[in-house]
Amino acid sequence: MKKGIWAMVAAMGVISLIILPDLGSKPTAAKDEFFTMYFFADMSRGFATTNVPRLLGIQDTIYWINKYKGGVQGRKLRVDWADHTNDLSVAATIYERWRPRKNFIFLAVCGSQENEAFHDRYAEDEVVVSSCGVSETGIYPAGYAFATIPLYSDQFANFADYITEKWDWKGKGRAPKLAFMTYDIPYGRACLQPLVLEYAKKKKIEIVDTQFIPIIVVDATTPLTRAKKAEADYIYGQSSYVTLVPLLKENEKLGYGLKFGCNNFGVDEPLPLLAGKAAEGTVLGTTPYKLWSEKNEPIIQTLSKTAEEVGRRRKDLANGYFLGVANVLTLYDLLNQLVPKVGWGGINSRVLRRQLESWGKGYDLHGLVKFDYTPEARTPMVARLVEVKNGQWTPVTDWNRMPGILRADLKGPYKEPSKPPKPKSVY
Amino acid sequence: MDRPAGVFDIRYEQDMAVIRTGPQWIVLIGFLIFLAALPVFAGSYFLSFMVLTGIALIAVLGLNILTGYAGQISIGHQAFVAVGAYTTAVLMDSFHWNFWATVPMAGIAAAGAGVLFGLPSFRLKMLYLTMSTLAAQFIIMAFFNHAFPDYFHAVSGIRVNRPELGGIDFRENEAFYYVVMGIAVLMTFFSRNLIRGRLGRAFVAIRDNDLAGEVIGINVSRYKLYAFAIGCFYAGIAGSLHASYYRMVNPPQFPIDVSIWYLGCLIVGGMGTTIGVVFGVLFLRIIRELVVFISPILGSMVSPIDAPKIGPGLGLISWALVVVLFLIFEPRGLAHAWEVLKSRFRHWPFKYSL
Repeated sequence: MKKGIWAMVAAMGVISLIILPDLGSKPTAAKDEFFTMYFFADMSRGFATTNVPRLLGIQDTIYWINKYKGGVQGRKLRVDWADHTNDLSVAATIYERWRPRKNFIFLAVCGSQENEAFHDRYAEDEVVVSSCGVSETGIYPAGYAFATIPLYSDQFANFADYITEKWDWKGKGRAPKLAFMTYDIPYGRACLQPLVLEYAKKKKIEIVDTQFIPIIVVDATTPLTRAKKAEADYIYGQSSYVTLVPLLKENEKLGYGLKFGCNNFGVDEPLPLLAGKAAEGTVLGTTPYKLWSEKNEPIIQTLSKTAEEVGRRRKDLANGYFLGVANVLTLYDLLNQLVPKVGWGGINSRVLRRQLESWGKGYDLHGLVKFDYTPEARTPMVARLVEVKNGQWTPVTDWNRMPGILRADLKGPYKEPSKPPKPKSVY
Repeated sequence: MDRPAGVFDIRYEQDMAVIRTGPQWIVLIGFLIFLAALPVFAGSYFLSFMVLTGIALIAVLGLNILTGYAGQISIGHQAFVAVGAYTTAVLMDSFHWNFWATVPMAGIAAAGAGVLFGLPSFRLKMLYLTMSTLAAQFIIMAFFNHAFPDYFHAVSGIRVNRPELGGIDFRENEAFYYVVMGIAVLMTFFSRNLIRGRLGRAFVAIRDNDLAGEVIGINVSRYKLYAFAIGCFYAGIAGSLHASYYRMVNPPQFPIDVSIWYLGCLIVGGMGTTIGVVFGVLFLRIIRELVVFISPILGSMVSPIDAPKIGPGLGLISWALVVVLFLIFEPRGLAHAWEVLKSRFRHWPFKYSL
């Protein structure tokens, strides 16, 4: 009997000795020749279509910087990544695994869920976050999270401005009628927030219907027919291309002539490929980024060349790819601006955040996107509406400034603690 | 229960005791000291792992009472965790309650919801009951998604602060670990003890043969509701801790995947045993962590194009594979394997007796 008990105790001890040092948070020393950025996102569940291309964008941009620019200020960039499978508990342990590391000061994420959950911790742990999960409470109140796309509310406003501007008020003798067709999840309902509906009302848009649809639409006829019966002219939703394609095809087949609006996640390369003629001139989306079709743009030429060199296929160069590129270029610019001033020894997350805040309005990130990063602002505020013409996304408006729709209690600059702790020194 | 040779119960107190021998006491106390001392030598990552494991353990203990002991299969357990989380979040955010006061309220609210969704168990069994608990998952989450937007803030979520007590700030994992582990240990003990009393025996009787149970005088309907209430009370407590740990509550945090993952923990650990729940939760959480750790390494071994796809693909298959393998090769779970192991030691050099 005693043997058994003691064997149990011994086994527990051995297991603890094996597991604990490996799982513990012994900070790993930063390797001097590298600067490491971190990236975690859902790469195997619902958001994989965005985040896998995004990782490709990150890896390719790092490849380009290291090969053709010789790295940043004498050091190479690299990325440590992990797939949190859209599970918050997995995301939490990944975050905690990285948190004690001295070089964990710049993190790229994509997902409103984890952004909202970790928003306060980013500030407490002083980790600068470059994010495309732009629910308002994921980014604001201003802290250490910086968005790479405009808030969803602003993207709707951009769409609303355009359709009311182009609407033939006299000829039609009525206001444009809009039906919401979006996902029944917080991301989907971000376009149904009171401030958004108020904006639509202000623009004299008549909301005639609201429907919730799944991401994978099996029956497109029913929601479209309902919207048509409600006499909608436009349909707006927080839809990805996966959802839009069957809706567009069915709209064409039924001859309803409805026009669609979407945010930047709908403006994706596979949409014109899959929807074909049905997408021509029928879907309007907001994007703050240049387009792959703008082949004369130097940044597009560089990215195309790099992607070709690395062996990417056209389907790899989806929407998320640009988001990944923006994450790396943000870091690249930050380090290039800061290292000559403070040296590598002075690089920490606090100086990164302050530098980002100093970028001001309309900071041009290598001609790819313009950011408004100030003590109060954390998102790009300039974007275009694009539509599909001749099988590719094409701008239909010039660069518009977003109205900045944000809850009053979330506005204001970041308040640094009165006695901030000493920041982690990477090198 | 298989016990070492020579250990006899000669008084009723001994027969009723949860811990029966001196060495068992030593191991238990040693384990509790180990748990208490963990923050001294373990890092933030490991403590975070333990906190999340503790929260999952409480939820799965509840599911074990409901499914493992009482035989009422539920695949909507995470919705009851959501009820607990929202109770704590709304009471703290809208009514400015103290966290500590919200914890029991979270359990009570989830128990109430459990009783409501347990009503179909009067008429339904097995697969049909499973479908009704699946409905609970969707109905409850739809409720939080759409009802009372001024309170539930489904779009923007509800921010929750971690508690303070006597000047101790529980924002750090080192402090919050004690809150979660304290509650987890207490609830594990309660769960272990439950099965030895009238209530637990009635649950087992209903699980094994509800008709026979009714014949011997068990009010089957009432006891089924007790099982739902107690199982969901556990879920509610787990939800309250969940809200406080993440400091934010939002409907996507409670997907059906997690409800099914909880069932997987029961299968792997061994249904109807408390130690099995501990093993199952710990085992599947370690598997999950290993997958996350290994994915980028695997990704770096293949071509750059496949790297981001092959690595994460591992996460999709690992959990399902483990559950299927257990169902085929060890359907009674790790708890049974543990009993076999102990028996081997006790009977060595003779063949084990199980």
